[in-house]
Amino acid sequence: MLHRVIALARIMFLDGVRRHALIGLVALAMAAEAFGFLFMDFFGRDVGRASSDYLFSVMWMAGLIFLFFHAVQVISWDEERGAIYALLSRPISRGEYVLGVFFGLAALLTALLLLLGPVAYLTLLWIKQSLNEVYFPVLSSGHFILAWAGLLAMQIVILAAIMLFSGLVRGGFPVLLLSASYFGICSGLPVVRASAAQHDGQATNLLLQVMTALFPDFDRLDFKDEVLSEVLSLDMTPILTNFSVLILYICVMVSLACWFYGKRDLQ
Amino acid sequence: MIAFENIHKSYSRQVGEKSAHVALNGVSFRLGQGETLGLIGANGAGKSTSIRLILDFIRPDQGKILLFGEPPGNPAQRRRLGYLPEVPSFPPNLTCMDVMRFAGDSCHMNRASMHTAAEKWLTRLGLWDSRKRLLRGFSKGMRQRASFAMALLHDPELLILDEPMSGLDPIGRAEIVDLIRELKAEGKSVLFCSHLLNDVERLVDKVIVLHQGEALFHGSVDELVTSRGQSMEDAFLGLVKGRA
Repeated sequence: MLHRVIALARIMFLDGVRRHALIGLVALAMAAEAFGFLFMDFFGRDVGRASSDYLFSVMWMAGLIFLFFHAVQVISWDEERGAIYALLSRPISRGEYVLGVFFGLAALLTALLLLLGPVAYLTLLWIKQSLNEVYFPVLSSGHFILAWAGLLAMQIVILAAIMLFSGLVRGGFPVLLLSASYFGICSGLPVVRASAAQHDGQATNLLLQVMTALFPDFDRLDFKDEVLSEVLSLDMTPILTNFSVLILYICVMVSLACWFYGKRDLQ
Repeated sequence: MIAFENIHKSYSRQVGEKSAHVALNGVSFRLGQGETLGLIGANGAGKSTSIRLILDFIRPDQGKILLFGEPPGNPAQRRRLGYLPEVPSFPPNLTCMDVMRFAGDSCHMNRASMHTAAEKWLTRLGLWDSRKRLLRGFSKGMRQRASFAMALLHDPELLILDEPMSGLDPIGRAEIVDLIRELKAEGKSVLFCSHLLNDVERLVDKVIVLHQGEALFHGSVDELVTSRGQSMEDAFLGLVKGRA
């Protein structure tokens, strides 16, 4: 099974990596990161934090553009163009197809962030070296890698949700709408929960907690504030727990996507 | 090889349609080892639906399908068959060799035998020099031939060909007809659908005439021609018009 999933993931990766729009996205995001060196001039104080936030926002936006403009359409493209028939006429199950698409897109997303991550770090390092120690005291490479991994993990969760919606409905646009709604709920739920904790009753709070199991709290994987932290050692237990729960969540989402896709007619 | 027994299939009602579309209504046929069977009919007759049911892309509402003696849901059965889709399409940014490698990997072929088979079929179909070009630059006929090479790469026992001559120029059509004849002579079983009756007449042992989801005739080409008219086209039109 692994052999077939890798074969499919490989062609999904190659097809994406040669797509002009994605090459343009990488070039644009890298240019935006390099622009970070000029960006710092707009801030009189806390230059390090502003620059770090800017660079992580560029990586986050590049990942989201990849997810919402490429990943949401891959399965519907295969169906609309008829490529799905050529692929599934091989000894590949529908579940293996979904897994192959998921791993191919996850590899593309990782490659995108692997290209952008070092550029962002070098830009931050360059900014730090060009400033007085007072304005930019700490840049931790370990924490930068952790923040980068957290960002990647959040985007892979969104990718898993996209796979689930692609398994459930036909067409790129409905998948885009569902995925955007999912992302909106995941982003907004922590704010609602914090507000409800102060004003609403137990039932509402319980409902919101249950909803967090379905729509994960991305803040738990957001470590970009630590990149400039002077506290160099972090408590790894909650971090590892959060990553483990997230991997489990991704496994459940992708398994459901495989199951739903296996039940559908490919009309 | 294939048993298709009393199959009914409807497509669910779409927005704006009054009722579900009945694609197949009680169609049955069999394809044995080494036989060539042609499914003929006008557009919408149910030819492609039959093929998609055999490949488990869609599932029947009623009836039983057996592929190599078992229901077609098991992907491992597809190691023994090669399929040419009606519209040859691949992810557009792949090369011909990427597709061949995928086809070989999916059937657990080792790299050397995959390369040998790819060279054999791509050369035979006139694509070896274009093997490193991206498929998005291929014409429809080239994509059709690439798709054929992919279907033949793993030396399948059964070939399922959905409109194999569509999109080909007369020379390309003649080459594909020759190739199907060769494969038939090698003992491969072939199921193919087409609305090009001359090609069907030249290639098949048995024929099924489908019209609006029903099988109007099942037998040899000679039986069809002698019972209904002077040529296969006359016979086909006689059957279909008689039904209408």
